[in-house]
Amino acid sequence: MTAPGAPVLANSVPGEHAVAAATLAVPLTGADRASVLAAPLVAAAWACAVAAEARRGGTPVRTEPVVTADYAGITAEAAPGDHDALRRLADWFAAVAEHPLEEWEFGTVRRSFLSRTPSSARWSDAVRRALFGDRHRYGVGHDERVAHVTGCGPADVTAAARELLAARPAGPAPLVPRTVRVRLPAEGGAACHLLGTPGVSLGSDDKYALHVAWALLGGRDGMLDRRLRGEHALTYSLAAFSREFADGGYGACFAACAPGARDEVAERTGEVLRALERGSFPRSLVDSAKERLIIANHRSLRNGRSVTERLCGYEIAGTDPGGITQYARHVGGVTPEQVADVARRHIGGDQPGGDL
Amino acid sequence: MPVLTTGPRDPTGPRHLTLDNGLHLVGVRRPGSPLAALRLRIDIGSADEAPGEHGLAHVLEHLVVRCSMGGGRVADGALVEAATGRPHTSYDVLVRTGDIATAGDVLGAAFRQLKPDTRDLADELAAIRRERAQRTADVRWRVQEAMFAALCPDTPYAHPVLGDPRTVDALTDEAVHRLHSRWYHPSRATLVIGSDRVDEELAALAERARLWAPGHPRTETRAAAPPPGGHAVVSEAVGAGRRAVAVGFTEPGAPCGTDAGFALARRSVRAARGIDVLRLRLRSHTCTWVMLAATDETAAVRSVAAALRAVRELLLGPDGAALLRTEALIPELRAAEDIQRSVADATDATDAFDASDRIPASRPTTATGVGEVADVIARWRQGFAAALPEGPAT
Repeated sequence: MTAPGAPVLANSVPGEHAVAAATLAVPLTGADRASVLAAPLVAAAWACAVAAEARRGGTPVRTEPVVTADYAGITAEAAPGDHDALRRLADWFAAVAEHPLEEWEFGTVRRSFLSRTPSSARWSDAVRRALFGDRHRYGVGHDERVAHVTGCGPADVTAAARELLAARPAGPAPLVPRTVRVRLPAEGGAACHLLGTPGVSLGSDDKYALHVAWALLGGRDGMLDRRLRGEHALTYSLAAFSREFADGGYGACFAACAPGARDEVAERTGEVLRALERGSFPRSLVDSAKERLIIANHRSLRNGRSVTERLCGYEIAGTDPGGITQYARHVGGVTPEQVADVARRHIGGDQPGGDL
Repeated sequence: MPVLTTGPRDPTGPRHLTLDNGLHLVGVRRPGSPLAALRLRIDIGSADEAPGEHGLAHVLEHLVVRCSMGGGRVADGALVEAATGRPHTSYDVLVRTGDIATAGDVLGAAFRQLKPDTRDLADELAAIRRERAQRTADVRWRVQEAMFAALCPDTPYAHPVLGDPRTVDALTDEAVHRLHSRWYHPSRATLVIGSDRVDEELAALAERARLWAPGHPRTETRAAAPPPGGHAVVSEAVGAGRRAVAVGFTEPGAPCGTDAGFALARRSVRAARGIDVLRLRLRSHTCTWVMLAATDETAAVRSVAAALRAVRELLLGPDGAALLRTEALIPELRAAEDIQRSVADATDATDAFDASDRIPASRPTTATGVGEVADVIARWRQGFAAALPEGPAT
């Protein structure tokens, strides 16, 4: 795993994409909560400062902040004819990293950040909060972050930047979460059933089978869609997925429904999860889930930026970045028995830990 | 025999074929892609619905996927995604190149006789009721639909794609069969494929597609009346003294500027002012609109006009070329690397307003100039500002 404070740099393959990309990221592990909360603002400041450095050097490159649960950084992109300019990204970053903005620039950067931030929390925020609690960075949600950034000043950005760039011990891994059912208030005559489950880290051998399991549950004509929409007409909107981070992961499913149908949706969802654990699903559904995952993976690799950002995530997690190109092979080898096995060990649909 | 009608202006651009059954085939080259994208577009949408049929094009879309396409699954793998709009209904699928033929067969099933059983129909109508509840709960959706009603009064473009719930709920399986026979025919459809070896794939698809809908009666349907050119601003209160506002205009013929100019102008405005300019081609007209929150409609229109003027001045200023490159060109070129996006663009490019002058969609390049983009923004400003009763805002 990359040591806290040590930046990681990933470049797209020369000539492979119309737009060349390079991502430079620093790990969030071990950083204090204030720095983690301010990380998007720090990354936005880095993006502005690096763009200005590049302009001063005579090359217009596009820079954007990139923040995940494990790192904060920037992605720089260059148009055809300017690709070589990205070799200087590390130099541009080094020149501005510890003090990315002047006091007079702060208001503009913060306004820009807040204007691009969604006006409300995503439902997955509530799931992560319920699973990881309010102490680990994986539990940070939209509302807490926006409140913190709104109260930040220029000195807070500089302090957070220095903290993120400083050598420090890695933070503790999150407590292993249990399956939770999250209750959100009904809005506009629509309610939802929301379930969060334990997951695995980016380097886990179970990752591929777990991806297949969640792909089997979600999507149109997946197990949840068949039961909730096809057989019982309970919902129109469904989502189910898993996410892996450096130190842990989670799974989540969401089903929009009428307020009075929430309990029935929960009951049917539980039935589906138990069927998954028993391996009671057609093999054709497994093949379909695998195929959709492989297609989505191929699609994402056609974009230089998504490759470099993913490479940084792998590097920071201490996982072989070459795994990106082996994804199709690993997913293609997953068996129905492995899917049922990871469902039993990680998803645990039988025993939700209770309503939150 | 298929007729080759490759656009004369760009020999490396999309390939066009028209089959004897009237199906229009388009091929888009994507060298090195391990994936292929296919889009079947039927030129039937909610704008083709007569009074008493509102919402039925959308129901047909659901039933075609469920019944004709067997759930829309390609070789136990990829799934067809479908969408109904005002002018068209589209069926999209992304597959690995080895599954192109199977994907074509699944899409071609759209033309099979559609005879849903009572259970299938009831289940899809229930799903559509949930979809309606979800959409109508969204104030932005309501305001946008009200804008279309105001922009296109007394035309088939006025009503929402979701239609009238009473009409939809009263639908019978016999009526589904009749409507499908009337609307779905290869002569009203375009099949676009993007793939690595597009010439070979196009020829193979043409061989299979020639057999689609043999003996299926070719019936004439109404051509939807075009909406009048006009302007509209509509709003709904959202609390705290704010209103959700939609402001739009329609113009006859081609939209403002080329596709490249539109794409770069849209990204420039979004990057500089956070306003997303939307566009929909309504056959012989184009509708352009924005949605925003403001204290009232007049303030909304004025803020849009002021923002567009500011962005135009930025582009024509000393840093304009760099701004265009970093905030518009680079993200647009990145987005264009997506194979489904290129297929969607090629499909839209078949909407030439003059069929004799069909050209591929123009792509932004590093040579696309700020002047072209600034002109698009100036025309938008003029169009939006005219929505105010007192005339152009400044």
